Amino acid sequence: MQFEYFRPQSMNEALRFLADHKKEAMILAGGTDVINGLRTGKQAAKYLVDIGHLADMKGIHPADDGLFIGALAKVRDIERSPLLVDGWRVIAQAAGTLASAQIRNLATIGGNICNASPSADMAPALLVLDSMAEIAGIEERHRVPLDQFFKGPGKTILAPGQILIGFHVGRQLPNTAGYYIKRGVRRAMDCAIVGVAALASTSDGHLSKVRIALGAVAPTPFRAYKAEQFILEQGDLDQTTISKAARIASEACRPIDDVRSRAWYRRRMVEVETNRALGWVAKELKWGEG
Amino acid sequence: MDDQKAYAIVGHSMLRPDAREKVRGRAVYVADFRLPGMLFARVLWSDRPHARILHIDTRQALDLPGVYTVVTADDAPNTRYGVYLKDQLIFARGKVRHIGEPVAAVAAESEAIAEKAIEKIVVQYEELPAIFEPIEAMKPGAPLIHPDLESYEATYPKIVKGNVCLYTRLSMGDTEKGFEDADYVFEDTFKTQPMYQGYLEPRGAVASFDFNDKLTVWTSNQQILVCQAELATALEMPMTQVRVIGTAIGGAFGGKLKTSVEPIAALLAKKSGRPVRLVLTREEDFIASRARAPYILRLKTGVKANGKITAKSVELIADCGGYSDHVVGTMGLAVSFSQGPYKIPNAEAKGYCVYTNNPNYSCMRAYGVHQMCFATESQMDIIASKIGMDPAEFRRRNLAEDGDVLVTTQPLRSVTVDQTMAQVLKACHWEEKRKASKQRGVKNFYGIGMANTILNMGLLSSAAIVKINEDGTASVLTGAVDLGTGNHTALAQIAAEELGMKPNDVNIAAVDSDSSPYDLGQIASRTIFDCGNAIKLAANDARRQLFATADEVLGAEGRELRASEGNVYVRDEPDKKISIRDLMGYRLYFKGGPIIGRAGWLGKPGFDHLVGEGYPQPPSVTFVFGTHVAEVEVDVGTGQVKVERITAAHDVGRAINPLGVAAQIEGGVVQGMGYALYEEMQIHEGVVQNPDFLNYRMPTILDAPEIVPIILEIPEEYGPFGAKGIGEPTNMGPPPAIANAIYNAVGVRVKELPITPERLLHALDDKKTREA
Repeated sequence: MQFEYFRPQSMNEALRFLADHKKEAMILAGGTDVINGLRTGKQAAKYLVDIGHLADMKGIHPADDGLFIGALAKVRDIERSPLLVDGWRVIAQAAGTLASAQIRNLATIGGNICNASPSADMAPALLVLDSMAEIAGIEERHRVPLDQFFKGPGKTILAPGQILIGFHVGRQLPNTAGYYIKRGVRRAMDCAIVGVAALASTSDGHLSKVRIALGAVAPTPFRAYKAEQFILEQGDLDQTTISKAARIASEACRPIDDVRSRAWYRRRMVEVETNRALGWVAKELKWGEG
Repeated sequence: MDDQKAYAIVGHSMLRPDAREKVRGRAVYVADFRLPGMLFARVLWSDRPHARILHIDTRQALDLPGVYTVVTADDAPNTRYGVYLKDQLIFARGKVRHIGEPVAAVAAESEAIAEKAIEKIVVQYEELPAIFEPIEAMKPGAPLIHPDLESYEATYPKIVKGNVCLYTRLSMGDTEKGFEDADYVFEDTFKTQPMYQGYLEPRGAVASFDFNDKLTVWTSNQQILVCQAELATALEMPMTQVRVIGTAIGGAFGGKLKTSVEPIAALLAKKSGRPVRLVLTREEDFIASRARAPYILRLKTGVKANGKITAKSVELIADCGGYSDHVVGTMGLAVSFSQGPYKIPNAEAKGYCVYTNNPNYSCMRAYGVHQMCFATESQMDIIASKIGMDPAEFRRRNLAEDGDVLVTTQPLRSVTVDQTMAQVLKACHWEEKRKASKQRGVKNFYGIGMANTILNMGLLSSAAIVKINEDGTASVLTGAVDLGTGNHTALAQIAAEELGMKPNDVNIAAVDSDSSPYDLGQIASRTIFDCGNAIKLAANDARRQLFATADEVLGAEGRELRASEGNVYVRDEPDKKISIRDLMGYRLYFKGGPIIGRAGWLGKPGFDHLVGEGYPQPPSVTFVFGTHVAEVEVDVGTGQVKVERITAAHDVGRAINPLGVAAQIEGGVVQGMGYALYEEMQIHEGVVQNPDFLNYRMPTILDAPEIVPIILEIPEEYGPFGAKGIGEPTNMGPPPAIANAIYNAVGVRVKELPITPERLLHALDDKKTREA
């Protein structure tokens, strides 16, 4: 691997450099994916643009409409953030399942998303919170719902010259519970063979929101809209509804056979784990208990 | 046998002196090693499973600036070598037999240049029909992988045919009649997978020729003296011209035997006239690995209604991959121990080792007995369940005793499996737990299962030299390297105990074939037993010489002398004493010269009439036993198995360093669990699909169960201070114990390793279909 290394002093400088070099430049944040890609020859770049130190993209900040999580927030910091409680807790919980503590110390949430692996652990959690991705180019900034961000394995809507700045996560209703289940072979240092995030909110004893997002079972992480819709129509989170919704979710996935797992097993685990994740959420919301 | 309390050093836990420096990164491994003017090597590996080599064009590679030399089979002697069967060459000659076979190598100023040069070597191949299933490879008309097999030299009575490079058959008693006498006959087939040793340090070596054309190789090999001999053979050099020095080793587990990278580095060094370092990448270490060979094991066992086994026959098929390597040896041990630690009066064992175009398989911790143990101990539970007997009770009714005969016709001795079993079952509350409810919650089920282990102990020769230094310390010359097991600590304890010194005053010297006496290597759990015996005898020889001088100096007049903490004294008159240091001063400057104790050791089995055909192994010296109990929780929704606890009892005769023994048990249990549940080199048409630590999944510390080691010390007559080895047996128990615990939890039997969630779920589905 051979490349030139750039360390811009500001976001503007970074954006200018990227605008000038477009496809020849690759962004380096935590480096836990990029360096492996370069080392194994799966990725190549003429210029490596290190943005890891840019302050405006770091940290987790309360905002008027909820929360802003900088793309450069370390996964380990997310895992331990005191801000990520209640409805937002699912993000911290998912962060704790990613790779190992050593890798989480380096890895950034933005990198996990931009790498666009179907099994990215941060994706399902961000998806169930209706996160918006903020994207900056040299001349403009805009927000995109995260479920429109992924285009395929390793592919996103980011155009050459653009940087993912961070995520806007809306305020959640007081009665919200979310949970992420990562099914891997081992308990750490593993890629999900299935990832399921589920989230629900209640208000006045009614289900007001249901979200299910799946990882590692299609070319991109995605929302299981039909399953969500089904639950909302039933207006219930009892076991029968959950089981049917889990079945619908498993029908929505398009898993593959690979060295980590088989398609049939992945599909089956979507059903099992969706069932369990929703069950956990229902219990947390004390659904049906009073 | 002396009481353990009689020992000042042996039997007391000692921290390893190297541990701190290793943690601080100060140990020097091959990859840290540099010599002035050293070049860096890369290897071109075959990317075809079976192909004729028409032409190798190295010109473009040689034209690259910074490239010093390229070597191929043309630069290597056309001498085949190998431990059991001489079928191997340094580089593929004429054809390649598996992916990952060395075809050429480059030495250059940097690894990056060498890598580029490798890409510029053009090899013209003509594909040959390839074969990947050993059963297919055994059929008449299958493509021949080694057409010259008949002409290869072997160290065993060679019975070969087609792609079968070893056929062996052992028998004892009358199996036919044994099956007739049985009330039930069970037939089961088991399959095991290729397992990568997963050491942290990939293989590597540095080679350098001096002005006298003498070759020196630094390597992290686990058989320094064997490596020297094989290098000499492969390079057609006398052993005087080949010097091999052991470096720090980052684990081996059977993956760093004989030679692998060493001859390649040597050829490059010779041709370039420069020192050359070759360290494999992790991917290369996988692809060109010497992984544990996959086995197919067909077992037939006859049992009386009262639970007595009347006969057993086994047929084992091992996949060698492209070359026989150690697979032939593993088969020898697998058939030997095909009865398990049980009294089986009529037995037969057949073994086949078969060439395929899969990677070059070899051996790993517990050799072929590992694969055999999984099959035997799984079938023991299958039988127990069918005849409605507790698996522990069924085993108890068939336990072997001293004098019972193996299928090799060798009688067993030092049989202690009754005690390892009794201890474990008591410690883990077997009876209550077998009766306890299995269901926990909706989807989770608890299960408990057991397995016994038997293994040979003592293998061929070791030697040691003990030099007493002027300051009263001792240096031990041995061929034994420390693989990371801490054996140097225990060996120092043995020498210190015998010499009456403090353990820190004993140094186990770095292994150097120019000065270290012969040793077969750190294999077969033999280091404490065989090297320990040699060192104990050599230390005793040194002590005898010390005492002779002390008798003079102290005027002891033949009264009994003792040594402790570096002093020699008259037993009945402890004030009459002299330090070993002063004694050495006297020896060196006034009387008698230096003290050098020496000894050779070859464990005598007292038995040499192995009966059978094509059998490749020497008889065992003695035997070692253990019992594992696994407790698991099975999630029937996902097929995931969580191993909660493994209680492992091993009879080690005497724990020289109890801390080290416990560490071996803990490490072995986790490794065995990996084999049971997670680890598999996935091979598709000869290609390793998962040559990295992300996709070849070894357990992490979070996956490790609670491990309860139980160390039994039933002194072994032939062992140093009564000790037996412990390295290998520790990883044999978990696969069958876990498989049996899963059966106990959910009533399904998986006969193929690893027991992945997919396999277990399939089995659970099948059971549901059958019951419906």
